[in-house]
Amino acid sequence: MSIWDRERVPGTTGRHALGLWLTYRKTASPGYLPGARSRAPLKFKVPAWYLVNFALAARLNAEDRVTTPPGFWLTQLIGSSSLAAGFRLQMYDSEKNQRLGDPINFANELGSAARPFILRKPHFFATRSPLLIRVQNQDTSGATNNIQVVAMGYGE
Amino acid sequence: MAGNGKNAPPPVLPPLRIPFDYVVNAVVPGNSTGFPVSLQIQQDADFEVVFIVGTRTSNLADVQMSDGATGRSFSNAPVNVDNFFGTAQLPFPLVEPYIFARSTSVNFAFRDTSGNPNTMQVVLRGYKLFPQQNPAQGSAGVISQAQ
Repeated sequence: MSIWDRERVPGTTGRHALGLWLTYRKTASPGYLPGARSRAPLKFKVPAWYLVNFALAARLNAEDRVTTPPGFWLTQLIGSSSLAAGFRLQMYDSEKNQRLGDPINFANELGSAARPFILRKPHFFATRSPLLIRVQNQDTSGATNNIQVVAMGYGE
Repeated sequence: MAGNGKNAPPPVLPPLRIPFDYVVNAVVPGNSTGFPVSLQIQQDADFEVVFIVGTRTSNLADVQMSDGATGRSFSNAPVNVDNFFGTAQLPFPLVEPYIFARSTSVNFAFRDTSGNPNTMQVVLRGYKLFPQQNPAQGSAGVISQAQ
């Protein structure tokens, strides 16, 4: 029996909860992009990559900030670590005095350019209040871990 | 008679979108600090960037892109190449496409930290935007010649 033939409401064509059977490509791009309403404020804005770099020895932590221009929409989170052990990350929005999550492994919050973590609803920064980024190196070998955290979005 | 549409302004037609790739090739010397490459947007049409893709020899490299028309940099510091462009299979999407005006230049500055020559190719994938009412704008006239 086809899932399209099922009718939960008589007279209304049924719709499967997952929508169409999306391929990986579909899952990775349009299915998880912000909707048209969320993208509307980005129109005619300029893309911008705001990044912070860290070079940390074993188990060290550090903090830095990204100061965005007023009216900045954060849309994607990207990051990289030169060592496989990676790092833990916590971000803090000083404008709204909100933590953007607990400290978690970077692989669970940051993507790469090929697989960026796209915010389904862009996060807005109205003023120049900085975004604080705190990282802790998870490597214990003693080698320096070169870390980069990129907040990609759209500004004036 | 009001509402008959006779005095209404003509509708603004969406532009014709022709798929196009702008390619930047660079062989960046080892440990180079700011190897400049300039990309010229062609005169025939504005360009709407949708995806950024690229290849590199080593990921120990950074890139910084700026708009030559405004002199404005797109990042506050050089971005690691793996955080800047994706691949053809998994391109980096611009959630909202960005339009470069025709005839402007896009400037890239590459930096290498691997110590060896780094062969890089950055591709801006997107669409040329031709006005429907004047698809042969500029000197090239590619569309009208093809028809």
